[in-house]
Amino acid sequence: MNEMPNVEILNVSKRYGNIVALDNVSLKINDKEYVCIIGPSGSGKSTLLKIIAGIIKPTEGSVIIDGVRVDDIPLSERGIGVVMQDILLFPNMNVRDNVSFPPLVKGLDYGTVKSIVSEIIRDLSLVTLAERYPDELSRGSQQKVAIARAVASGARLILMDEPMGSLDTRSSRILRYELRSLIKDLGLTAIHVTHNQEEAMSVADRMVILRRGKVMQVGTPEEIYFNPKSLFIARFVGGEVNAFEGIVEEVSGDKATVYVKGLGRFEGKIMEGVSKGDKVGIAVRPEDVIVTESHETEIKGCVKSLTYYGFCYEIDLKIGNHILKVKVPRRRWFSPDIGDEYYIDIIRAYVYRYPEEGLERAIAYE
Amino acid sequence: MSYKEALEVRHVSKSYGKVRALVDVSFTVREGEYFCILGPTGAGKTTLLKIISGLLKPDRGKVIVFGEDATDLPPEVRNISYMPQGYALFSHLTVYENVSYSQWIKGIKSDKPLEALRIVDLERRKDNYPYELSGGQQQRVALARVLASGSKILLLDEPLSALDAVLNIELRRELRMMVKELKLTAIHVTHNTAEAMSIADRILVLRKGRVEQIGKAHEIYDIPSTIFTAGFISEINYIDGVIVGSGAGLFYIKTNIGTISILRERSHVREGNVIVVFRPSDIRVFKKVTNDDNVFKATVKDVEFLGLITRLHLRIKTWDVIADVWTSTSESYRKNEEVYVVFPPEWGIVYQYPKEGLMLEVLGE
Repeated sequence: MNEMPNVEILNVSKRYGNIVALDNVSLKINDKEYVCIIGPSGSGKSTLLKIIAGIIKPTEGSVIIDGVRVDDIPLSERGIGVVMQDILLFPNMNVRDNVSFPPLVKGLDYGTVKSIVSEIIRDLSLVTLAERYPDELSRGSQQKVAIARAVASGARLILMDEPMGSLDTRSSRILRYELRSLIKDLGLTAIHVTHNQEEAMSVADRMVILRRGKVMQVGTPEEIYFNPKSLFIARFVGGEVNAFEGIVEEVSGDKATVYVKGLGRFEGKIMEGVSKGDKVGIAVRPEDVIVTESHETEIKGCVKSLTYYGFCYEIDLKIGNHILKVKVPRRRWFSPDIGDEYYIDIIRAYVYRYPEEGLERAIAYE
Repeated sequence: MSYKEALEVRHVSKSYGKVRALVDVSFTVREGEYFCILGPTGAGKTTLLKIISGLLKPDRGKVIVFGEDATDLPPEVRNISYMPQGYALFSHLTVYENVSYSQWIKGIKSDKPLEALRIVDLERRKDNYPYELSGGQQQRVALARVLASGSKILLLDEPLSALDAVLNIELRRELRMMVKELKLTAIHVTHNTAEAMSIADRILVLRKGRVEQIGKAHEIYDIPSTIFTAGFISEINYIDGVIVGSGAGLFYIKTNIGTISILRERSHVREGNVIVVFRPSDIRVFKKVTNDDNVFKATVKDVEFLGLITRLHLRIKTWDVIADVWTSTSESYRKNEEVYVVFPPEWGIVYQYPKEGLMLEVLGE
C-alpha cells in the first residue's frame, strides 16, 4: 500500500479575534483513505474542512496535498470535489446533465464524459432516475446526484460537510453505505465532516474527534469505541454514558476493581495511569450493562422510566441515589415495566483519572 | 377512561395546483397528549400543521379545536401556538424581548414570558442576546416564546432537527416533560423515527399526503400496517413468496431461498403472493447450525461496525440480508465467514404483494 500521505495538515490554528476555532491541529490522511471529522457544534470541524478546501485561510500552519504546499492555491485549483449539506443542483438540467457538467467544463471530449458519467450513475444506482429533474427527486436522491457530480469532476480528493444533514434517518442510512462503496470502488480519498457518530462509524476508515478546536483522538471506529481516550469520548461515541466517581480498590494489569458509593464494586479497564486508593472517573456505556431477573448479582435496580425504540429498550434504573442508564436489545422474554426490579452486571467500564473540572464538565457536549 | 379531545382533523384535503399535498386526512388528538406526525420530506407534514394553525385553509374538511369548528377562524383566536421550522430568533433583541415579543405587539403586559423562561431554565440568561447562547439554549428560547403565548395546543415543526444528535436526545426528554407538566397538548412534526418513538404518546405516519397508520410506538414498530411504514421506521429485509400451507398457528411461505414459516397473527393476508418482512435486529446469527425454525446458511459479505450495533451484510443464496447484532455481547464476525441465520417465526411480518410494484411501496419513490 502507498503510505505517502495524500493530505497533511501541519500545526494548523485558526483564531477569530479572541476565539480559538482550531488549536494547533496536525493530521495525516493517507491516499485512498476515508476519514471522518466528528465533534460537537463549535468544535472546529467545519473550519478544518474549509481550510483544507482553501475556502478560508489558517492563522498559522500549512496544508499539503500530494506533497505540495497549497496554502496560496485557491479552491478551484486544488483539484478537490466538494459536497455541502445544502444541495446545490442546476434545476434546469436533468440528473445526467448535472453530473456531466464538471467534466464538460474541464474540456473533456463528449465521448469520454459520457462513459465516465454512465459509470458513476450506475455505481450510485441512479440509472432509472437519470432523465429526471432535481425537483422530481427525493432529497436523498438529490444529494446522491450532488455526490456524483463532485466525483465526475475527476477530483481525487472529495470533501463533504454534513452531506446527510438534510436527509431523514432512512435515506441517510441507505446513502451512507452507497457513498462509502463509491469512494472505495473509485479509489478516492474522502474527508467527511459530521456530527452523527453512527454515520461516521459506518463510512470511516479512521475517525478524528475534535473538541474545543483540538484533536482528542484519531483511530478506527473499533479503536475509538473500545478504547475511548477520555470520559468525553466515551460519552460522545454512543451519545450517552453513565459517569461515576469512584475509588480504585485493586489494580491488576490494565484492569482495576473500582468501588462506587451507593452502587457497588465492579471491574473496569484502566485508560489513564491510576493506582490503588485513587479517586477516579468511571464511564459505563448503557449497552455494557446486562440486565437479568434470574441470575443474582451484587447490584439490583428498579425501573424508573423506559423508552421503547423497537430494536431496544432504553431504561433508567434507580439504584440507591444513582440513575443507571441501560440499553437492552428486544428479546422474546423481556418486557420491562416501571417498578420492575432487575439484577445488573456491568460487563465493561472505563477508568480515568478524576477530571479537575469535575465529571459534568468533562463529559459536557461542547 | 374518557378523554377530552383537544383537536380533531376531519377529512382534510389540500392541493397546490395539480399536487395533492393532503388527501382526506382525519385524526383526533386528546387533551394532554403528545402526538407526533412522522413522515419523509414532502409527505405534507408542514402543510398539515399550517392548516391546523390557521395559516392555510384546507380545500375540504374541518379543523375542530376543543369541540368548536375553527376551520374559518383566524390563527390568533384558535388557542394554538405554532413554532415553525427554523424558529428564527430576533438577533437584535434579548432573550426576554424575544420571548415577550408577541405580547409586546399586542400591548399586553404579563408575567408569562418570565414564567416561560423559568420553565426552560433560562431566566438568568434573559438579558443575553441569542448569539451568546448555545444551539440548545436558543432552541429553549424558541420554546419559551411558544409557551409564553399561553395557548393550550402547541404545534412544533421539526423543533429538534437543528440540533446535534446528542443534544437532540437530551432535549426530547425536557420537551416532553415540559408539555406534560404544563398539561398542554403537543403536535410535533419530525422525520426522525427515534425522536418520534421516544417522545410521543401516539404517532401518525404520513406518506404522500395520506395517513398510513396511527398508533403507539410499539404498535407501529411491531405491527406496521403497510410495507412503507415498516420500511420507514427501520431498515427492513424483504423477500417475495407464496403462501403454500398452514398449520400449528403458522403460515408456510415458499420463497427463493426455501420455505419460511411465520406466525399466523403476524400476517396481514391468508393466501396468495406475499412479501415477507424481517427487521435487521430481529434476525439471529449463529456460528453453528441450530434447531430453530427457518435456519439458513449465509455468507458474510461485509461487516459494518456502528458502535451500539454491528451490522452484518449477509447473502443467503440470491438474497442480500442485513442483520444487526448487539456489539457489546456479540461474537465478532469476519468478511467471507459462513454463518447460520435464524428468522424467528414470531418476528416476521407478511403483506400482500403490492399491486403498484414493490419498489414504489418500499421506497415511496
